[in-house]
Amino acid sequence: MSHIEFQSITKTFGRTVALDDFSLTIESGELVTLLGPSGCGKTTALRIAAGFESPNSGALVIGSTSVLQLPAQKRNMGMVFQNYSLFPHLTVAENVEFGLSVRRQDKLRRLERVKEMLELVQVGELGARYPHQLSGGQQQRVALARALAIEPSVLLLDEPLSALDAQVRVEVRNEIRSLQKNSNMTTLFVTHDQEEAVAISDRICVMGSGRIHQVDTPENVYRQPTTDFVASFIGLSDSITVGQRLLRVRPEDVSLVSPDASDSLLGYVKRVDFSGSHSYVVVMLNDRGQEIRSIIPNSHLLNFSPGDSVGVKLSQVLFETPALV
Amino acid sequence: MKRRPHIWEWTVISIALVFFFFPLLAMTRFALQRVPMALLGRDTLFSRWTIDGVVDIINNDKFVSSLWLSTRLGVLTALVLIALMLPTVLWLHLRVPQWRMLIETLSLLPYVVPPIALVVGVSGAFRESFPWIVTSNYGLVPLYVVLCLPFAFRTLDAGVGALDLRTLVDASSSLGATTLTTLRKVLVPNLWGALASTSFLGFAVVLGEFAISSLLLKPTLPMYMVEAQGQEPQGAMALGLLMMMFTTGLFFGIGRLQKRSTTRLALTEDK
Amino acid sequence: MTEFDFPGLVTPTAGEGVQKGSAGNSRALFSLTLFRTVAPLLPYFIFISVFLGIPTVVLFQKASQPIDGSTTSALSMAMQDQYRASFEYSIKLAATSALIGAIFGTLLALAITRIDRPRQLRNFFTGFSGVAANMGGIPLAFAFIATLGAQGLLTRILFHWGIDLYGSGFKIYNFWGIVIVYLYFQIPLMVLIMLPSIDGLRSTWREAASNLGASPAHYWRKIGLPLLAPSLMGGAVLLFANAFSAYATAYALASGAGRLIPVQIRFYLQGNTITGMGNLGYAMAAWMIIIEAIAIIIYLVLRRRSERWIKR
Repeated sequence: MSHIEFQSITKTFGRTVALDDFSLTIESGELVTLLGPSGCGKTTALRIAAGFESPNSGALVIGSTSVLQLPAQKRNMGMVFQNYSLFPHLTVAENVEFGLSVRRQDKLRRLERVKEMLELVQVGELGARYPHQLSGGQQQRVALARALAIEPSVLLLDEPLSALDAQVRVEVRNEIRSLQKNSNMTTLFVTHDQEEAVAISDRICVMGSGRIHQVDTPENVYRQPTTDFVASFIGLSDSITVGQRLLRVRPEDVSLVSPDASDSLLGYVKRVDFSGSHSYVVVMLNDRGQEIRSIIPNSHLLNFSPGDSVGVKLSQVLFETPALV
Repeated sequence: MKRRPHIWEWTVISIALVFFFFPLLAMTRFALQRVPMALLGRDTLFSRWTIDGVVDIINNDKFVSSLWLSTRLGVLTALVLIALMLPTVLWLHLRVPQWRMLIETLSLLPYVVPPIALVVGVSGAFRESFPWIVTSNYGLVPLYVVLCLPFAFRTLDAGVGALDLRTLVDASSSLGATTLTTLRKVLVPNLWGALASTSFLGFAVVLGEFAISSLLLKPTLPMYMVEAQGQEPQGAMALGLLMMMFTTGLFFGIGRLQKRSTTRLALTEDK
Repeated sequence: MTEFDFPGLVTPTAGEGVQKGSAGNSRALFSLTLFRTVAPLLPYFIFISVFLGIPTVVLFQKASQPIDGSTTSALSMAMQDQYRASFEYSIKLAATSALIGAIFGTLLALAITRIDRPRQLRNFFTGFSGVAANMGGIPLAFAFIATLGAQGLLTRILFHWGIDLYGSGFKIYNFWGIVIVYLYFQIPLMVLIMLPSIDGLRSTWREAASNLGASPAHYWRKIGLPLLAPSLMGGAVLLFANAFSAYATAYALASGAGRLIPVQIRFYLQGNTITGMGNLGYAMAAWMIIIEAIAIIIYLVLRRRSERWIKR
């Protein structure tokens, strides 16, 4: 298990800057997620780590080795792709065995290891099947087994859950997390889904336009975003202007009070959105018709009807954009 | 992946380019230069280039009549091809998609029957009962259509498949159009790419088809070219060159029309 | 339902009412519906039956008859002695051009897919292959006569460099001459066949293999080639079928003489020989169909196999 260190990596594609002076350290045994919208550079960073892209400048250290000059096949990293990574003409077992046969381990040991890996990801009985006979979730499990079979120093995951159904996504991500924790595997995870990132990461690196906005634990990124970009990307929030101030608030920090209460923003209930385990009251403020949401337990649903006057109090501001001079 | 100089790729491509273009060069030289090969050398390289051979053959009556015949046959073949295949493909997509396997397999059958075998069979089968097919020049048309069937099916199938046929037809008929009007005003305009490709290829096939004309002794263009080879070798070579340029132009046109279509394979040309 | 309602005259509007009618009426409705479904396809079916089906049947019919003065069918005769030699020659030639064309075509296709600059190169080659694959016949023969004929440009150039082609027995219409000429359309055809399959080799497979430690050679050996194998073999078979049925090129190269089957068929049917040998021509044509059918079936099976793994 090694740590990964990106040092001032810059990568351009033609005139587009994919990564701008990207520096990040991932400690040994840590799961760090690169999170951001499409085009933010997260996949580029991962592919540079894997050896599929070469940066224009910068260095990359894994453990104690500078790896940039090493070709991809010599870097001993495990990688799980978004989809279509299993070799279609090989069985599940043969797929998992592939990295081992490249390393010329003897057959008996290989088969043992394959069996071990397949059981680890809970597809033990599927060894003789072909990829096209498996579901998406099963395929990704096999891809994971295949990557782990070679005992890599580092695990790279490129949006491995994006192509899966919602429920399967949660199952597989939990399995990935527990496997990672048990083996203390240094892991770099890429996704655009902030819920995923928040659920499994030790730290999240929020990226936008080739730059890092914030690197911190999920709680800190959620509660104390350092830029408005991070604030808006993680979780739900609404942006409103109060007086001269541009504020971003989370629905759970918005409380609804009587319109006569002091220090409250005035408005009326525009609509109430039922959202399963809880509901949102969408309030239209009198001030410039801005909308703000408040989260309420379902037991309080009947208290609010569209048209009701209501007061809004902010218990906490997530992020305040510094005033422009 | 990385910035490699791609040496062996360019080597392969260069060899290919030389292989494919050198014969054209040789053809041009033969057709346009009146220097016997034995005398060709550095000092004679640029002497006696003339287009006389080309001019002569173009003015030749037999050439004109054979060209005219092949052209007529080509146009007719294209028309019959479309008239036969378009409704079939449309019906397949619209009403009987479950019969695709059958119809598609049938359309591949001409590959199994080489032109030689086809003309031999047709001749043997119809020579006595329907002599028209072997005596008349136009009797060639059905045979040419058979030859073009596989390509026509695939092209039209791909073109129709790219449309949302059901929706178009339903929309059109709900607005009051008859079948014929729908065909004319809705379907054909949307299919003109596939239709043009099919026609061009049918035309090109007919223009170059030799086996059938050879066995039935019909005075088509390729037949004339072979004949001329003996009498006016330079003119014949020039004709060959012109043919190649013409079909190249046709096929490049087809290629661009087919940018969206999935297949460029056509095996119907008589080699 | 009166006694005047003939089953066959059921009209569409009355159709719904007929649902409750007797079994005969439903059967009639069913056959009417069937007819209306099939009717637009009839021209297609009839055309193929008449201009493809009947000729083939008649061909085999005549081929199974004996040649005058003998007792065995022409079909079996056609595969004996000197005629068999012609078949072997044709098959050998088609197979050779198919093999060489398959190898070079695949290499060319691979080279084309790898080059990203200039970007138009791939389009150009695809377009050109589309043209060249259909090139053939008389113009092609002429082109190669001008190149490698006795008075050909290349022949002369080689002579200048000390290589006497025709002196060592080469002729443009002998075995290797024809193979070379056939390559002109075989190679592009293979390119067209292989390009979609090579494109279908997903980059993730290559990256995954590399990531797992495989060198490029290892990738090709274990992943790339196995996945391309069905297309490769299918392509080679298709090339064989293509060359085997070729007529015009060979005819023009050898000016009507020649040992290839298609040319021989013409010979036997043009009445240049003793009458009664006509059936032999039919038999040879029938054998051509049999061989082509086998080739096409193999090709289709292989194509289905490759499409299972590599979806476009």
